[in-house]
Amino acid sequence: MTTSTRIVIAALGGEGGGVLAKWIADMAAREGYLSQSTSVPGVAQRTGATIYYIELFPMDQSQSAGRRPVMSMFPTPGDVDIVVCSEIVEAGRMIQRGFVTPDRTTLITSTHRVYGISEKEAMGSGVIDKDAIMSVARQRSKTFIGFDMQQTARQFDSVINTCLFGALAQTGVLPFDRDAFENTIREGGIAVKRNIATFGASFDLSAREQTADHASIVETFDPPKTAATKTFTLPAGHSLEGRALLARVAAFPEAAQEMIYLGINKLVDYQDFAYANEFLDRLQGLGLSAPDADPDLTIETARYLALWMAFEDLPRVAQIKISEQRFARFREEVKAEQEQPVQMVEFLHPRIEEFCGLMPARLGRHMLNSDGWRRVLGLFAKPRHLHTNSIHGYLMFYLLAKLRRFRRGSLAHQEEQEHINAWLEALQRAQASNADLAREVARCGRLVKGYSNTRERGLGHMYRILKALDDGVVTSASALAALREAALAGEDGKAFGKAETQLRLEHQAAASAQARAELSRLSTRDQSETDQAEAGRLSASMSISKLKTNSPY
Amino acid sequence: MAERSFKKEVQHLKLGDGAVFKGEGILAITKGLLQSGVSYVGGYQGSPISHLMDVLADAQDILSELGVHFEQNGSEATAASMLSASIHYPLRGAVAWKSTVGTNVASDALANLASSGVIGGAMVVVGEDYGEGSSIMQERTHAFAMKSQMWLLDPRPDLPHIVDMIEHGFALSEASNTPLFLMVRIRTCHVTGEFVAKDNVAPQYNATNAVEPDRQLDRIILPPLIFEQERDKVARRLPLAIDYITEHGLNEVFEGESDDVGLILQGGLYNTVIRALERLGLSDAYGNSRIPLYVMNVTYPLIPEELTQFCVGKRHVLMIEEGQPNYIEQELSLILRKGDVQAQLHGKDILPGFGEFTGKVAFEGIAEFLTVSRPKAVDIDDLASRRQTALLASLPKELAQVLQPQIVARPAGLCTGCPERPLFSAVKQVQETHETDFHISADIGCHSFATLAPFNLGSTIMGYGFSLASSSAIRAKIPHRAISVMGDGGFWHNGLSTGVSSAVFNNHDGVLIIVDNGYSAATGGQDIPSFVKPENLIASTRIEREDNQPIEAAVRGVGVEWVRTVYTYDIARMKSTLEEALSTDYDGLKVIIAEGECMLNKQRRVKPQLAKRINDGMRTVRERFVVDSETCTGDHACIRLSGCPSLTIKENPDPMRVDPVAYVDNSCVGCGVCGGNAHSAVLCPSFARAELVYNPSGWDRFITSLRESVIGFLQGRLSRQREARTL
Repeated sequence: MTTSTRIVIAALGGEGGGVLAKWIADMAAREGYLSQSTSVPGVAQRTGATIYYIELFPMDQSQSAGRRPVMSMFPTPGDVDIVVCSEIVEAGRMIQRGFVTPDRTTLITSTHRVYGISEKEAMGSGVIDKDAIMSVARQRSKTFIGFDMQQTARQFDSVINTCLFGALAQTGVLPFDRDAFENTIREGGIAVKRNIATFGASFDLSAREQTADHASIVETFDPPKTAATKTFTLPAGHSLEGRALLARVAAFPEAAQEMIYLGINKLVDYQDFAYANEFLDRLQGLGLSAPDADPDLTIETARYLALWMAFEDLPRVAQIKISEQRFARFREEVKAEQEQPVQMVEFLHPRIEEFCGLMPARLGRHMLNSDGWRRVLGLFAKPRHLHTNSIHGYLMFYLLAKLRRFRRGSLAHQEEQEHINAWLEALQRAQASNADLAREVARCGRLVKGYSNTRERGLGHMYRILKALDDGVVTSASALAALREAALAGEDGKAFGKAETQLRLEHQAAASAQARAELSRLSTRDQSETDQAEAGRLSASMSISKLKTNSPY
Repeated sequence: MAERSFKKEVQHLKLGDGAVFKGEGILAITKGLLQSGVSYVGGYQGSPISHLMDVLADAQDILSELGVHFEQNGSEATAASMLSASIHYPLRGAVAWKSTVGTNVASDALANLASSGVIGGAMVVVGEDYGEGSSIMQERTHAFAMKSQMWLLDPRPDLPHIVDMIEHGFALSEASNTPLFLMVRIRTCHVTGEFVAKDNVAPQYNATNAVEPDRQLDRIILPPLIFEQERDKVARRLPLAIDYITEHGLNEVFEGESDDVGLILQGGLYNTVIRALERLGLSDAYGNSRIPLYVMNVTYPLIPEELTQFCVGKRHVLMIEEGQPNYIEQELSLILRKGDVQAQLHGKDILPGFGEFTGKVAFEGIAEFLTVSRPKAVDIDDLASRRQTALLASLPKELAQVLQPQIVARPAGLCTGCPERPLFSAVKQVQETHETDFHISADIGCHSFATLAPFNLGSTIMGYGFSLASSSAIRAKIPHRAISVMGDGGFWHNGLSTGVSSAVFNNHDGVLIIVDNGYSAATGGQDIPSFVKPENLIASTRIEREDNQPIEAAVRGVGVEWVRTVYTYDIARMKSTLEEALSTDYDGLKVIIAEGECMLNKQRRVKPQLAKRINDGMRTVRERFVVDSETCTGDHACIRLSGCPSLTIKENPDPMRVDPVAYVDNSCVGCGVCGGNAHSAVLCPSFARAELVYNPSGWDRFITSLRESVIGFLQGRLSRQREARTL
C-alpha cells in the first residue's frame, strides 16, 4: 500500500524554513508528486522555534486510484521519513518529540549553535552540551547528516536552507535526482549562482561522509575536541628576562605550566617582567611550586590570579583598543572589504572612580572624597563616543595607554592588590585545612570580572564568601561551590542572598545544637535568673532556625 | 504595508470557471467568498487570520472591480457590527478574526445580530488559534455559537471542500435567517492545496445600484420584539437550518465494513483521524476506512436524525471532539438517550479531556477505542502489534535523560533591532534604582515578550488594549506608581476608550507607556490609524500623513494633560522621562509615547534602498556593532539588558577565561541599543560601532590614508615596544 512521504522542517523564526518547504513542494509538483504543506506561524516566528510539515504523494498512483490522498496536518511520532533542522538543538527537540526513529528517519541538521536566551544571559556559562545531542542523534536516526552548514553557507555568502537542500539531495531519500533539486533553486530565481555553489558544496560534503565505512551513519565535520590530550611544552625564551621567567615556570608541576605560562605572557604584556615575577612570587608563596602541589589548585589559582592582576583599568582598555591586532580583528568581524574605510566608534562611560583610580593613591583617595574634585571630574565622567581610528582619538588612547608606566602607584592598582591579597590569604588559610576547599576558594576568582557595577557586585560577593569562610559558616568544598554558583545564578543577588542566609542559619542551628546540650546541662542545676534568660534566648533562636531551614528553598 | 505581500497570489482570485486554483487555505477562503457573491468583507488581523486580512487588503483592486466593499475594521466589534448590513437587506457579508479572543471582543454585536437574524447571508470566518503555537488562552468558539445560536461550520481541511462549504454557508444562513461561523484551524489556514475554480459573482447591490432603505421593526433589538426573536430562533430558524443541512448533505457519512462500531468527528479533524486509521491498518491513503465515519462539517446545530441513524445497530461509537467542555458529546448523549439508541457512547473517557487533537492523541485514542470495542472484521492482534510498534517511537529513558537538559527553551522575543527593546532596557534600568520590582500591567502585542527573559517585566495580560484598565485597582496597592504598557495596535483597538478615557475620568495617578511603532506589528505589520510615512517616524522630524490620527492628539482629546513623546533608542532620555513620570507631583494620568519604527518593516523598506544606493555608486554608510572580545570579560550584563538575537555569545578567545564572551553576529542592523545600554547602564568599554563606508569619496580616501599613516607609525612603535617585552 502506497503511503505519503512525510517531512518535517524544524527552523527558528525568521530563518526561512518556509522557503525550504516551498522548494520541496515546487520540486515535487514538477516531478509529478502531489504535496501538502502546513505550518504554524504566529508568535513562534518572533525568534521562537517552529516547524513546517510536508507530505508528498505520487500523482500517477492517485490518478489510477481515481482519488486524492488524505494527507495529515500534523507530523506524528514514529511516522516521519525525513527531518531537516537548521540548528542542532532543534534536531534534539525533534528527537525529543519522537519525530526521529531509527527504523525510518533520515535526520539532516546543521550542527552550529544559535544560543537560547537562557544560555546567553547566564552570568557565567550556561551553554548546553551539543555533543550529547549529536550522540543521541546518531543513535536515533536511520541516516544522519550533520555538519556546520552555517560555515559552509557563509563561505558562499548564502543561507543554511541551501545547504540543507544539498544534503537532502545527497541522501537520495526523495525520488528526485540532483538536477531536479538544482532546477528548483534556479527557478526560485534568487541569488542563483551563490545558491547553486552552496548546494554543490553541501552535496559533496554530505557525500564524503556517506562513503565512510560507518555505512549509513554520517559523521560530523566539526574538528575533534582538542586540549584534553594535547601536551604542552614551555617554549624557549627570547630575552634574558624571558628566559629567567620561563626557568621559574619550569619549576612548577608540569600540568600547571601552560596556565602559568599564559599568565606571565599576559602580565608582561600588561605591565612588565617584574610584574610577572610578582605573579610567580605569589604562587610560590602559596607553596604551589612544590613538587607535590595540587595541580588543579595551581591551575585555578594561576588562572584567576593572572586575570585579576591584569585587571582592566583605563590604560589597559586603551592598550587593547589601539593594538594592531585589534584593528585587524575589527575589520574582519564587520566583514569590511579590502581598502574599505571603516570608522571605529567606541562607547565608553568612564566614571569618577576610574579617573581617581588613575591618580597616585593618596591624591586619588582625596579626590574621590572631595566634592569639588568630583564636580570637576564629573565634567569628564560621562558617556563618550571615541573615534579610535581618527588621529585625535588614537592619540588620546595612546597617551592613556602610556599611563601604564605610573600604574603601580595608582589608587586603582593599590586597591586591587588589597583585594587580591585578601583572596590569597583566605586561600592560604583554606589550604591549611582542606585541599578541596582551597580549590574552591581559588575558583571564586571567577566572580571578579566585568566593569563598574558588575565588578563591584562580583567583588562584594567574593568578600561575603570570604567572610562566610572566616566565620566558619562555610567549611566544606561543596558548600562553597554551591555558594559560588549561587553568586553566578542571578544578577539581583537574590539566589546568593538565599544561599548565604541558609548556610548561616544552618550554622546557627548547629551552634544551637551545642547550645541545647548546654541548656540541658544548665537545667539540671539551680537556675538563676540570668540562666533562665540565657536559656530563653537560646531556645528562641533554635526555633527560628528550625523554621527557616524547613522552608522550601 | 504588511509583513507579507500577497500582491502576486491575489491574481489567482480572478480565476474563472474550470481553472485550477493553487494556494494556501487563506486564499482559497477568499476565493470562496468571491464565488459566493459576497457584497462586503472586513475583519481584524491576528494569527491565524492575519494573512486573510493581508490578502483582502492586497486584493482591493479586484474587490472594487467586482463591487465588493472592504474595510479594515478597527476591532472585531467593528467588524461584527458591520454585519448588520445583512439584517434588512439581501447582502451577503463576511468578516474574519482570530478566535476566541476576537469573538469575545465582538460578542455584544454578534449576540444582537443573532437575535435580529439576517436576510443576507452573514458569515464570520474564525481562525481558531488553538494548540501548538497558540498565543491565546485555550477556549472554544463552540460555546459562543451555542449561546447566541449561530451555526458553526467546521469543514474537512480539504480546499475544494472548504470552498464548497463557504457557498453552502451563505445559503444556509439565508435559508435559516441566521448568521454563522466558518471555523478554520490554524494549520488549515496555511495548508496548501488546489481546487477547480468558478467564476466570481459580483454582488447585486453596490454604490451605483443601491438598496432601497427599508426596515422591519421586528428585527430591532428592543422589547417586546426581542422575546419574539427568541421564539423565532428556536421554533423557526433552527428547524430550517436542520432541514437545509440534511437536504444538502453537509455532514458526510463514510461507510465501512466494521459497521458494529463508528467514529463521529468534527470535520476539521478528518485528516488526522484518517492518518491514525491508516497507521492502524484500517484505511488506505485515500481515506477508504474500514470503520464507518460520520463527519460533522456542521458542528452546531447537531442533526439528531442523522446521528441516531448512524448509531443505530452499532455496539460502540466514539465521539472525537477537540477542546473542552465536551459540548457535542453531551448533546449526542442526550440525542441517543431520547432516541433510545443503545450504542455505547465513548468520548472524553478515552480521549484526553483537553488539549489539541494531534496525530499522536488521535492514534492512541482511536487504538484504545478499537481495543475496547473489538469491531468485527478487525484483527485485534494486528492492532495490538501496531500499537506496540508506535510505542517504540518514544525515546528510551536513558537517551531522554541525556537529551532533556540540552534542549533549551526558545521563548518568543523581540526581533533584531526592535524599537521596543531600548524601551524595556530603560524600564529595567529604572527598576534597578528602585527598592522593589515593578508590578507592570502588560498588554497584547510584541511588547508582551518583555514579560519573558531577559527583561522579566510585566505581571498581567488581560487582553488587547486592556493594560491601563487592568491597573486601575492594583494602582492603589503597590509601592510605586502603576505602570501600564500598551501598543499602538491595542490603543486603537480598545485602549483609548477602555483605558485612557476611563483613567482620566477616575484620576488615575499612574503611568501609561504607549509603544508607537507605526504598525500593528505583532500581527504582521498591518496599518493602523496612527500610521505615518515610515521614514518620518522619528519624534523630531515627524511629518504626518494627511489622514493620520496621532496618538498624542487622541489622548489629549480625552483629557490627558501630561504627555511626553520619546524616541525609544534614546535610552537616557527614556529613563529620565520615566523617572519623571514616576516622581512628578502631577497626580493625573501620565502618558509616555515611546516612538520608533518597527524594525522588521523598516528593514524591508530600507534594505533595498541601501543596496540600490551602493549599487548606484553613491557614498553610503552602513552601521553595525561589534563587541571587543579582549575587553569583554564574559559576564553578559549587556545581554540581560537586551536579548537581541544578534547579540549572542561565542567561545572566549582567551584560553585563560572560562566564560563565553558576548558577540554581535552579522545579522546586526546597527540600531545602537547595545551602545546605548553600555552608556546608560555604565556597562563596559567593549561596545563599538563600525561605520562602513561604501563608495568612499575622495575626501574619505584622503583622510583614511592620512590616518592610516599616522596610526600605522604609532602602532609600529607599540609593536616594537611589545616585542622588547616578549618572553
